[in-house]
This record gives sequence, C-alpha cells and structure tokens, in this order.
Amino acid sequence: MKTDTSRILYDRYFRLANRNIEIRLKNGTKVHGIIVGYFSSDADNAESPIHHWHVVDVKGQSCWDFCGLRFEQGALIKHCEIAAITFEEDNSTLFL
Amino acid sequence: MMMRNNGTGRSVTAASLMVALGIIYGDIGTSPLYVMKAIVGGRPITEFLVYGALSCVVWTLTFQTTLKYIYLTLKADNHGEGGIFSLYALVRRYGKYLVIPTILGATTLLADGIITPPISVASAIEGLTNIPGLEKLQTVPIVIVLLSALFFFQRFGTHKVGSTFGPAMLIWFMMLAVLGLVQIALHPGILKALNPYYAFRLLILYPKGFWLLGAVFLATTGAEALYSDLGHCGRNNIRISWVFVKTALLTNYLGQAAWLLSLGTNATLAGRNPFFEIMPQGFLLPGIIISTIATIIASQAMISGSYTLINEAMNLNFWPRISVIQPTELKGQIYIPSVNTILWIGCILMVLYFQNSTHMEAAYGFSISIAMLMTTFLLIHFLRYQLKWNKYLIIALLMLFSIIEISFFVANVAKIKERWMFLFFELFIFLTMYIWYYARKINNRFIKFIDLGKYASDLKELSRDNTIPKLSTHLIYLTKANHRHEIEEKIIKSIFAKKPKRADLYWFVHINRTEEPYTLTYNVTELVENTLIKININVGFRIQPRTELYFKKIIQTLIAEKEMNLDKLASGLTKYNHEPDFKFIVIEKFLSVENEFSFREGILLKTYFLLKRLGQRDEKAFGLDKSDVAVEYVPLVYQKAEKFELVRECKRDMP
Repeated sequence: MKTDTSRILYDRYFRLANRNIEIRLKNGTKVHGIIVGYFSSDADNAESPIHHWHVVDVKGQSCWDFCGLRFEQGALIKHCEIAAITFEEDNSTLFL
Repeated sequence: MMMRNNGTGRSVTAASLMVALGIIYGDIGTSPLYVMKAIVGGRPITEFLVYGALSCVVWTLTFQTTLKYIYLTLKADNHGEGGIFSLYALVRRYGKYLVIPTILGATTLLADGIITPPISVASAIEGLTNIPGLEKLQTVPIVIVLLSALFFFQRFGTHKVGSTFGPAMLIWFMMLAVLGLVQIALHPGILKALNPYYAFRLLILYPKGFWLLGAVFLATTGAEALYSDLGHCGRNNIRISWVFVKTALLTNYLGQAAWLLSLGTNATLAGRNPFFEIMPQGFLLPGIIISTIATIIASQAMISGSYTLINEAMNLNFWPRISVIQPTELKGQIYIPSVNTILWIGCILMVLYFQNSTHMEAAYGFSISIAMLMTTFLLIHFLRYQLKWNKYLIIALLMLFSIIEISFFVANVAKIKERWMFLFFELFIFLTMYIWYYARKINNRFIKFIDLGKYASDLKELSRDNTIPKLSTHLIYLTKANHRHEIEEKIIKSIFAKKPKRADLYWFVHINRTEEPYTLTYNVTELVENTLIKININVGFRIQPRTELYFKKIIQTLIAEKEMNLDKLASGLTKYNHEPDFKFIVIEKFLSVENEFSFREGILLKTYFLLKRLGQRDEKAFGLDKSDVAVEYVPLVYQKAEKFELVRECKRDMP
C-alpha cells in the first residue's frame, strides 16, 4: 500500500508547539506561515488523505482566515505540489 | 454504554437451532416446491434427464451452498453479522474498487427479492388445483390477498408469531424428508444420481443441457439470503442445522426424481408439480397448508432481509436517509414503510404480470447469480487479506466458484427476456446507491477542518459577553471532525459570523459510524473549561442513530456524577420553565450558484441534492426533536467560477 505522506505531515504538524513552517513547492516557490485548515478526501474517514492545506502568513493578519465575503485569506496549497516542509521549532525538514 | 451482538459465539441449543430453522432456511427450504418442475418443464421424462438434473441439484447444493456459503462465507462474519454490506465493511480498506461489486451485489439481491414471495406463495397455493373439484381454481386473487396481508402486518413486527416460525419449519422439513423417503423406498435406484458423472453428462450431452442450469440454480438461490441472516442465529447454529436441512432437501429432491422415473420413459409433466404429486391424496390439503405457511415464513425472511439491507446501506452512506421504525424492542427488528410499500407493489405487479409460478421460474435467478458472483469477489479479498490464506488456495477457490457461478450466470442470461422490466428497477437501485455514495464523497472533499485551538479564547470570550443576547444555555453542533483539536470551518462561521451565537456551553457532538454492527459507546472531552465540550458517540452500522436521546442521556450521567462542573452552570431552568435549555444547530448544504462542474460531477451532485430533498431531513435522520433544532443552510462551493474578467468601466469620483 502507498504511504500517505499527508497524514505524516498532519501528525507531525499538530504535535508542534511552534507551528511556523516554510513550505517549498515543487516549482520552487516558498510559502511561510501556519496551517489553519485542511481538506481531506473523505470527511467520513479520519484516516483519508489530505488533498489541500490552507496556509496563512501570520504576520500582519488576525486569526481569521476568511473575510466577510467568504473569500479566503492566505493560500490553498495542493498536497501533491509540496516538495518539503521546514519546521521552525527544530529547524528540521520533512521531504515529501 | 455498550451493546454487542456476539453472533458467532452463540451456544448451540435446541432452542437456537429452532430459531435458525425458522429464520435462515425459508428461501432455500421452499425451493423443492418449484425446482424439479422448472427443470423438467415440458421435456419428455427420461433417465438421462432425471438422473442428470438431480445430480446437478445435489452437487450445486454441495459446492455452492455447503462449501461456499455454509463453510467459507460464514467465516466472514462482522462481529456476528453477515450479508454483503457486512462483508464490504470487513474488506473495504483493501480497495476503493470494492464499492462497485458491493453496490451491484446489493442491487441484484434486492431486485430478485421481489420475486421470492410471489414465486413461493404461488407455488404453494397452486397445489390446491390438485384437489379434485378445485382444478379450475383462480389462484392469483388468493396469492394477492396473502401477500397483501403479509405486507400489511409488517408494521406490527413479528415478535408475537416469530416463536412459531421454528416449529413450523421443523414440520415442513420433516414433511419434505418423509415424502421423499417414501418415494426413494419405492425406487431405490434413484440414489445412483448422487454420482456427479450424471450431472456432467447432462450438461455436455443432453440437447441444450447447459441451459438447464438456469432452473437448477433455483435450488440454491436462498444461499445468499442465508448469509444475510447470519446475525440472527450465529455460525454454529447455522452449520449444525444445515446438516438436517440439507438431508431433508436432498431426500425430497430424490423422492421427486424417483416419482418422475415412475411415470415411464417419454412421459411429460403436463402441468403437474412433482412436489404435490408425491403427496398421498388424503394428505394433499394439510400438505398445501404446511407449504403455504412455509412460504409465508420464507417471504417474511426476505422482507425483513430487505429492510436490513437498506438500513445498512443508509448507515454505510449508500442510500438516502429514509424513515426507519422499530416496531418492537427486539434488537435488529426494524420496519421501513417506504421499502415495504415498494416491495408490496412490486410483488403484486409480479403476480399480476406472471400469473403463475411457472412463468416466474423463467424469470427468477438472474440477479441472484450476479449477487453471488459479487459476494465471491468480496469473499476472496476477505480470505486473502483478513484470514491470510495461501494465495494458491485462494486462486483455486476463485477458479472453482468463478466456473460454477459464471456458468449459472450465462445460463440465467436467457431469462432476461422474461424479466426485462426488472432492469429498470435494478438500474434505479444501482444508480441511487452509486450517486449517493460518490456524490457524498465529492461533498466530503470540500469540508474544511480547522484548528479549534485558534478559536478557544474567542469562544470563551463570546460565552461571557453579556452585551450579546444569549441564544441558548447549551448550543449543540453535530460535527464530522474525528480529532478533538479540530472542527469544521462552517461551524466556527455559524457561531461567529453575522450575529454571533452566544451560549453558556458549546457542545460538539461527533457521531462515529463504526464497522462493528452494534457498537454504542461514547467519550467526553472538555476542550475549554466550562465553555466547550466534545462528545464522540460510536454507533454501529446496524443502529439507527438517536442523537438527541444519546446526548440527553450523556448529560444526565455527567450531572449525576458531578463531572465538568456542569452542576455549577446555569441549567436554563426558570420558575416558568422546567426543561433544560438546549439548542441543536444542523448545518445543511445546498449547491451554490458559483459552481462550475464537469459533466459527471454536475450530474452526480445535482442528483444527490435532489435525492436529499426527497429523503429524510437531516434533523430527523439524526434523531433530533424538531422543537430544539435550528437548521442553517450553507452553500457548497465545489468549483468556483474564477476564470472571468470583471472590468471596472471608470473609477467613481471620490468626494
């Protein structure tokens, strides 16, 4: 069976005390911030793979990741486009 | 709170064996009423045909019923429960593609289930025409009245008459055995037919012999229903009682075959049914009465089986939510009014269309042969991945049952022209299950979970903010979030957006449908002291959730045990009002106009929302009392229309 890297990231991320991360995408783009939400492939199944992460740059923003007109702030990142994540807490990097 | 059904571990007693006889064998046990008649039909009766046909029946019951169902498939019990959905729950983690055989198996089982009551009852009632003076009797009205009465009484449950089913079926099987034995004693040479060579010879050498398998198959059609009823009796009781049942069935088939041979070479049946012909004339009326009772019990088993199948389909998200009633306190006994009505109409139409059992035989069996193939497919996964059987043994079993069942399927294909109207019914059931399952999957992909920790202090602040009018003392949301640190974004928006909803205590209730059939457990976590509590309720897939009842019971327990300072909170009680102040918020989705769909997704989602409107409302399905519920509607934005350019014509002059 193929390893579900999204759940590895999920388990690791939500155990962190300092949740600032840097996400490096496969196209070279870097995104800084915290994960505020995610979409999984089946909400009925807690173990189903996560297909999108919602990342918000914490600097200069309130904790609200949506505005009054339902347009989301931050960025929705496809899990399959992530190359690596660096965790600020211990400066370690998870390669996907 | 915990209820468990330990079906497999049930001890074997005379009483439990009697229960098995009354519930499990109705369908397969009443097959002698029509199998030999269907095989011989209008053909000239010869030793070649009779020995071959009987041998086919014997070895079909041995391979298909005994080896596949009694020995192998009964191993696949899901905490004591059987049936195609229980089997699916056991193997679904081994492949997403297993959804399709499951839907196909359930569809075909339901579809042919509509013929089971008419064919059984009609076969028994037609026996009356053997009584001198009743040869011209119109049996159709009698069959319609009996079936209508059977469906009418479903709403009252079977607890009062259920205990008589076992003894009635015991009498039935004893009658089968005695009638058969008498004929075997007269023509002991018939025992030669136990040799499988005769079956092989018939299929290969008899003109169009292979197509006789369509009629032979009727001897084993009840095997699939037998597996579905596993939960009622337990594996050991079924296996032990099967020895008696199979002996009685084979003895009767042998007896019927012996009688056929006694007619002499090239005689024909000429409308006679060997089942009634082997009865002494004086026993005919009691024999018909016993047969009619047995067929009513068989029909009852099929009807209850259909309720169970739809209920499981609902709980595993294969079917829209519809009203399910528990007519008695008996565990597992349910009544589904809409299914009852559909089955009743279907059965009456069958009787009116086919008129007699001979025509029904020509249509019966095609769908069940598909259901059996699908069960084999799922069973192979179970044996390989759960029981870790040797792969060569699995391949051998797969080949054996594929050859048998594909042969039966091909032989049954000829029946399509007699049952074309079923295809619409089957298509309807299949599409409903397919659309409901996959559209829900798409729907679920767009539920966003967020970190609850970010909102904990805001929730606490809102709860204590007296400038905002209080909506309720206890505000309860149903959530799909399994993990305690997260929640759906739509719930947070519901609490804070526009007019914030203030409450003393926020409850997030998660109903977790388990793969075990009768689990009923819960756990409670206080996420923010005196503000936010999460309850996980684990509900087995055979149980109809009654969220409000469970919730109030949990609160009662928490208050009684003085947990989480609930006793210090305002209860909502006033001198004018003696009831605690609860408010459930149910969030329902609708399809947003902002969406842009691909063709398949568009069809799936639009039909899903249409079916949802026709089905039971969310609050009722969750067992919530309407007076305590507020429903909020949120748009499902599946694929935002973003590829458009909105150009501002000119900038307005600012003062």
